[in-house]
Amino acid sequence: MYIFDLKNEVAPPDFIKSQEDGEKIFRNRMEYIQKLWSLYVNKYGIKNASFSTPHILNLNKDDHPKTNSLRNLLTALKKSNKPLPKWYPVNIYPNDSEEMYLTLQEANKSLTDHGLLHEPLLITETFLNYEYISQGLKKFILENNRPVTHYINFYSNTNKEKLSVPFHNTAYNNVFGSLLNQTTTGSLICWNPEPHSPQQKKTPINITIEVNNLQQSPNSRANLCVSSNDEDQKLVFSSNKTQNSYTNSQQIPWILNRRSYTFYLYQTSQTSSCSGVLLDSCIIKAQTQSIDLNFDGIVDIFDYNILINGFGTKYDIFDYNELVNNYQS
Amino acid sequence: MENKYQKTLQIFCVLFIYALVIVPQKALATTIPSPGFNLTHYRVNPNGQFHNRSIAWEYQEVGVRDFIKQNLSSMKAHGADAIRVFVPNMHNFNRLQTWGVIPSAQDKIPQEVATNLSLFFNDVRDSGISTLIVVFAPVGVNAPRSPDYNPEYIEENFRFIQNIRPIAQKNGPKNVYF
Repeated sequence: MYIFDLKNEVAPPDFIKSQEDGEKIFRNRMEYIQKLWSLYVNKYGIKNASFSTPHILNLNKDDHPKTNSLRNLLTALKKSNKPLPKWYPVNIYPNDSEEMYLTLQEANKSLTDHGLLHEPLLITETFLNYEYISQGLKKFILENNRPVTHYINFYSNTNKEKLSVPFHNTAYNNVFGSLLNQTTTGSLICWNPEPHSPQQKKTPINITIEVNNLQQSPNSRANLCVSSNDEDQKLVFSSNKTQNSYTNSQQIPWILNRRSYTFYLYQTSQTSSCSGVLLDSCIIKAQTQSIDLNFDGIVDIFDYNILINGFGTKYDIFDYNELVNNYQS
Repeated sequence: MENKYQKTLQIFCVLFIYALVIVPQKALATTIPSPGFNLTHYRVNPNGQFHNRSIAWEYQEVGVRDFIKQNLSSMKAHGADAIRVFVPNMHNFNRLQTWGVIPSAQDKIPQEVATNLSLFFNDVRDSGISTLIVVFAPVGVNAPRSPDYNPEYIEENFRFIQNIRPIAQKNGPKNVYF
């Protein structure tokens, strides 16, 4: 996936207005966002683009800790009369974990106040490899529904020294490890099929599989198996998709009339295994249609009339009980 | 009629329970952010600066590409899944500016820069890293943050974006769908 940040940190914080040429620079940055967004959207649409935001909080300034930079970005974007971006990169260089958390809270509120309830945030710059930053981020994501899809470190430490590769973020692994290794949970939603006519031999059904926190191990997978009438289980579907959580709907076309099927969802490490950690199970039974064809609670001549309609008359078929027996077999 | 009514009621109840229980659970699912790194230069000079160390300009120098490919593999192995790369541009470029800025006065970017970025984006994709973020950063008269900014250069900046975009689109990581 490629994404474009059309201008790094262009969103202007309010405090620059008080600096030399500040009003002019503030205005230039707002007009730049408006015009460039318009040019870009006219040619390419909004899918892969946004602008990054700096200095959402400035806690050193007790009187005006909020810089409104993200709010100013949204104001400029709205003036373009184009649809707004689908994601919002923010650059955060916090002094402690609380500042990291509060900055994300303010970013979340800025988006929400502009009616953007679900658009993800991306942290596109922060100091390289610090646990206090990961802790502030973790606190935010556990308390909020706002997704934070990326956590990208800049090549500098808190002394603002530039660093060379190799880059590793062991702090991230330490802080998020417990979340990354959460127990896998899974559920099956088995939709019992509508009762079908006796002529129909098979009834297609749908099963929805939901898996959360599938282990990050490359061999971990979720397997769906089935057993009919206590026979051995057979594999229906196997997935090792890399997403931590996913939902998948499977259509099962081979359900036979009046047989009972038990579906099992396993977490396992083997492709064709019907064993491992049982996450969920469900039972499906394909029902034939009731012979109470007019659904009045009584089986009588009126059901008979419905039954023979189209393939004979009551004079052609004289034994109703025999007919019902044929119907049921 | 009564049975039809009952069926409708049953369907409504199922949908109501689904909306009440399952949908909110999904909304509460936690997204764990994917880690990643900014990577625009392959090394810092001893003086703490980036002169002659830019990926955009130096990627085909001896050993540079292999060095970065090894680092991309290592970052991926340690969990990284995103790379963010700066492509700064300016109108008044001269060859003494060796920290990585790219000239944007001409219609096209220099061929060696286009080739270097193509190779780098390819290598990011081949490493298995799924997200590439390209960040534009005009400087000098092209930069709205600068007191020297000239609004006339926004068209030049947009042309520069149009030059870089197909390189990333063609060579960068592709979307992965379940």
